[in-house]
Amino acid sequence: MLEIKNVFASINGVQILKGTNLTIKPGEVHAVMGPNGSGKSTLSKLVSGHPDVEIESGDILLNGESILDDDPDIRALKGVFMAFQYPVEVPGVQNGSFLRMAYNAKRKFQGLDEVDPMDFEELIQEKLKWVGMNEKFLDRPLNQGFSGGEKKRNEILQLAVLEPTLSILDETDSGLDIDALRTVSEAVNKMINKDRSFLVITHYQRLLNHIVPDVVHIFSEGQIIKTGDKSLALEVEEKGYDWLLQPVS
Amino acid sequence: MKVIDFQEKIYNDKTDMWRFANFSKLKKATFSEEAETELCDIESKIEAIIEDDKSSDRFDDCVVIIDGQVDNSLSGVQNVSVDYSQFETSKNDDESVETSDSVLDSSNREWSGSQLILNLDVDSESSAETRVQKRVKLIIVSSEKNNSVNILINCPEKSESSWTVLEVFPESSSFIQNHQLTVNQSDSSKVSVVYLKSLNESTSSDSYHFLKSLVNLGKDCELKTLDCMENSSFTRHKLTVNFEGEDSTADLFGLGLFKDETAQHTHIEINHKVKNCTSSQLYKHMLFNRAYVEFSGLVSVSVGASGTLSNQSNPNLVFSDDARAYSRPQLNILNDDVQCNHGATVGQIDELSLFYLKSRGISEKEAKVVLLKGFIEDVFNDFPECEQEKRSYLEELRNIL
Amino acid sequence: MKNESVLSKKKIEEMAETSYKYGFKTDIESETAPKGLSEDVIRMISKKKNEPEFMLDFRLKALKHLSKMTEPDWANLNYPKIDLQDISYYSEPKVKKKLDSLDDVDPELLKTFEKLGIPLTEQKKLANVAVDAIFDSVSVATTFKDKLLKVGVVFCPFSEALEKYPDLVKKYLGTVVPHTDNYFACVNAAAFTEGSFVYIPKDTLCPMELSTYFRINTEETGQFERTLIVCEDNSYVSYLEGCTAPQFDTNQLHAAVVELVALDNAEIKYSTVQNWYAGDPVTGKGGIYNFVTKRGKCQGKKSKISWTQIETGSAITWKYPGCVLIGEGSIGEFYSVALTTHNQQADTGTKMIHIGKNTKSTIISKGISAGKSQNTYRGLVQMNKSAKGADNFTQCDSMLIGDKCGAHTFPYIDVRNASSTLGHEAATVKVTDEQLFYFQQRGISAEDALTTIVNGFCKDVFKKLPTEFAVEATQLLGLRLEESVG
Repeated sequence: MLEIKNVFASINGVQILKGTNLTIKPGEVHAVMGPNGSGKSTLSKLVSGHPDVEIESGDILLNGESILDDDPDIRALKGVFMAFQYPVEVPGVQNGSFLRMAYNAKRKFQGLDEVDPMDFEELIQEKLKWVGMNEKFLDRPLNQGFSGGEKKRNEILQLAVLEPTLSILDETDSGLDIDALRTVSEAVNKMINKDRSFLVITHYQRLLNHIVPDVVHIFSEGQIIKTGDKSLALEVEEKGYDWLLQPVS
Repeated sequence: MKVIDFQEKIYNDKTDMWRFANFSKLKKATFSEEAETELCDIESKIEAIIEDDKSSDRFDDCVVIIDGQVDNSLSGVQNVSVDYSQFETSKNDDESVETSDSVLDSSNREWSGSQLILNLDVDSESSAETRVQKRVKLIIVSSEKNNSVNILINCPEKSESSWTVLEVFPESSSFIQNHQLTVNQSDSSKVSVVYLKSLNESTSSDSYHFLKSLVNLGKDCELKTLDCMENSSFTRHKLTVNFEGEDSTADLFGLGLFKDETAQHTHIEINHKVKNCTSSQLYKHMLFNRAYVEFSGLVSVSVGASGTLSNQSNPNLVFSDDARAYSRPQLNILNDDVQCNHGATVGQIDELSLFYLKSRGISEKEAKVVLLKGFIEDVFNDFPECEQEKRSYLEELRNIL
Repeated sequence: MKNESVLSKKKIEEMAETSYKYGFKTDIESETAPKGLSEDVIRMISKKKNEPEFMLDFRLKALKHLSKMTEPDWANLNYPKIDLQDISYYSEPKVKKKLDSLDDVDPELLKTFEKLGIPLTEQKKLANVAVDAIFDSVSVATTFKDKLLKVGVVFCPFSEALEKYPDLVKKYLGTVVPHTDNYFACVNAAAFTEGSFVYIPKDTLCPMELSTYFRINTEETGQFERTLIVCEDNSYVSYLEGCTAPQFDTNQLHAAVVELVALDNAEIKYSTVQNWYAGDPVTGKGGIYNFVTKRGKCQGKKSKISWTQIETGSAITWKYPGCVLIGEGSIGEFYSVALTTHNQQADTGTKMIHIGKNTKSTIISKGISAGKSQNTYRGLVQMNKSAKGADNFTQCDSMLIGDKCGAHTFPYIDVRNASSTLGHEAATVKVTDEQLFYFQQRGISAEDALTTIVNGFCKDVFKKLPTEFAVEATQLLGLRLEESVG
């Protein structure tokens, strides 16, 4: 599904990723944990093609093909989805119509007919329930005036509707209360199947109680320094990051 | 330049910068060109001020300028060196079209004769930690009816200084004052300029006070200005701020309490010529009686001035049907990487707040004073040294209400 | 309807391919007056149109006054001085026989209308909209007139109004925009050739939206349209104006005048989508000069006049639709989107003059500058001493796209009493890289993202337009942006 091969990358001239390697197979849920400033969020920008990220060397393969030359929208259409840590506000653009626009862009890419607003409304009813929102949510301007929790729910709603093959959750748990965390996690769990992969980026272990990872990576100083199963996350929870960081420095 | 030419030329300018000023009286007025010296009266007043300042330790230096010359006997100068630069006799470049601005410039040069240069001295030994702000008071005295002073203040690199400007006008019934004040801020300097109300506010109908201020900021500078506006028959203050170096900040404040037949014209021009500079304007006006107040705040952002932040606010409270509030918050933007927010409001004291206070047993007058105190408060936030001025505003308000 | 003002990529592509779809010139011979403005020309125009005496007097008075006026130079616009003597003031299609039905219309003309998208021949599609199409200066076809007449609504070409309702025209003509108002209004008063007249009698709600499509056709022929709309007590009308123009090399002056009069409780809603030829995208040559004076007078108590404009075309736009609020409690509104691209220049805004007690005005202006264009908002809000309790809210936002354009805001706020309230807010809005990335991450191309964000920026104005117009406006904006940003 996704292969990140020895990537060195920088943002604003500062090298953040220093030889990152990561392989995610179809159906797998990977978690990347790490202290603040370790560069783990750069990972999500790297895969989704954020213009700030400058790749010095290495390659990213999606289903065996390099996506380095693809614009962010092409990567998205090929199945990469990123749930933003800080979703941007866009005044005047209706949440629902944005969602339909994205949905139709994908349908068009797949050679399918676009859906009209009526059909679309029907189609997303169930997904709305998943994230615990009602239809009024769709009439509001995109992310504008949303609370932190609403923004994150909205991201997951988009994920549920767009059905990507690779989903990256960038600190989705930040700013969520415990109930919202459960709702969001349940929605994500509904999405997990043998064809879809997930990359969950988080600082804390608590999200991983709800979305259970197959593989856990510890990220530090632009590299994965340790890989294990879900027990590794619990160990981090208990001991903090320091014991892991020692050998590197 | 003869006063009569000045009257004629000023009057003819019909550009937006001038056409809202009513010069019909200026045109008709007669000004005698004779000097009318009553210096001894003024001197005793100034001495009293200096004495008062000394006792409250508000200033390090006091520069008394009488008709363009520093008066050594009255001044107490430690941190400032004084210099004069004669203006070259005007070259008469007659190809240029005369605007009111150029009339102000040329008459200022002609009437003042020379530029007074004040160089702030910095202790080269002092480091960033030990550096202290030099507090200078400028007392500009005009004994002549039609007078011009041209002052240049040089603030060297990394210096910190505050300049408090007090003007003293002639006691006579009619006059034209046309002053210019330029401040050059070298890199990493901090400057604060406070324009106090003039000592003897003239309520006569034929006093015309023009002031052109210009501040040029180098890199990484900070500027704060506070204009405590006149309450005289005609005042026009044009304040231009040029950002010449990156990463600088300018915060301009103004407060006007206009209670008589006042004409106040404030023209702010902020030129963002370089990257990453921040400017703000907060000009608050309270209009009583027949006050006519014009506020024009123009922010220009040049092509290269990315990362500009600019804020402007001009709230007006109007208390009289004979008053007139004229506001023009303008923007001129040639760069897409900027954030500018501009605004003006005109209104009255909030009825609801007033009612709330009254329902708590506070008299209407006292309630108004309380609310207006809140209105003027934030103008003074950055000027703790102006506590005395703030109090006098409140006192005045109490008297009017 | 959830259907938002969002454009599909397909549509933009379609539109982009057509580049300037209205850039053609109909091949009909025109009868054109010799160049220049003189008493003879004025008399000729008046005679050709069989005008009553008072009309000729009105024109001649204006012509006389014109010699005392000069072209305004205060606007933030840069263009060569206009030579009024180099313009022809009258042209009409040679086919000018009075036509009773569409079947009698020159087929060539009908083809033009079809290309323009004016569905005269498909009346079903007209969906309750009567169209008074103006081809150059003489009106050739009017529909729905009878239906309107049944309820007493008059909607006809100006010349016809002069013939049939001279007293009404005489009563109101020049009462809102006198010939002395400004240079261009004065030219118009002297030389206007055609326009529309609307009269809504007492207690009448106009049963349909009235729409006029203007079209400039003959090369080097200035267009001087004049529109007069009068709403009697308790009446209502919504009027739509839409413009397209063919591609030419010579600049064309357009100096229209629109006068609206609203009496007690009357409401006039005037909407414009303006898409005239803006000139060659590279050289800026050949675009329309649009110097328009539009003003409404809220004469009656609780009357209301609302201007909505979508300005996307013209090389030069000089336009300040305003309201004079005289009647107690009357309301003036101005909603504007002005998009400038390439070398376009726009200096536009409004004037709200509060005279009556408790009058209220709202101004929402959205300026978008792209390419090398200059976009200026200029607006006056004046509250006179008599306007006790007047209220205004103004919001004018600018968006810049690219680093070669300019956005300028020049408000004039003038309050002369102690009971009025006014709030003016202005801000610059930026399309951020983060916003674009967010759209792209959801599979939406950068171009579509930009169009959508800009449309979102303009939403407050678009929602004031009648539905059909809103769609048209959204598409127009997308097309224009596509052309410039591409």
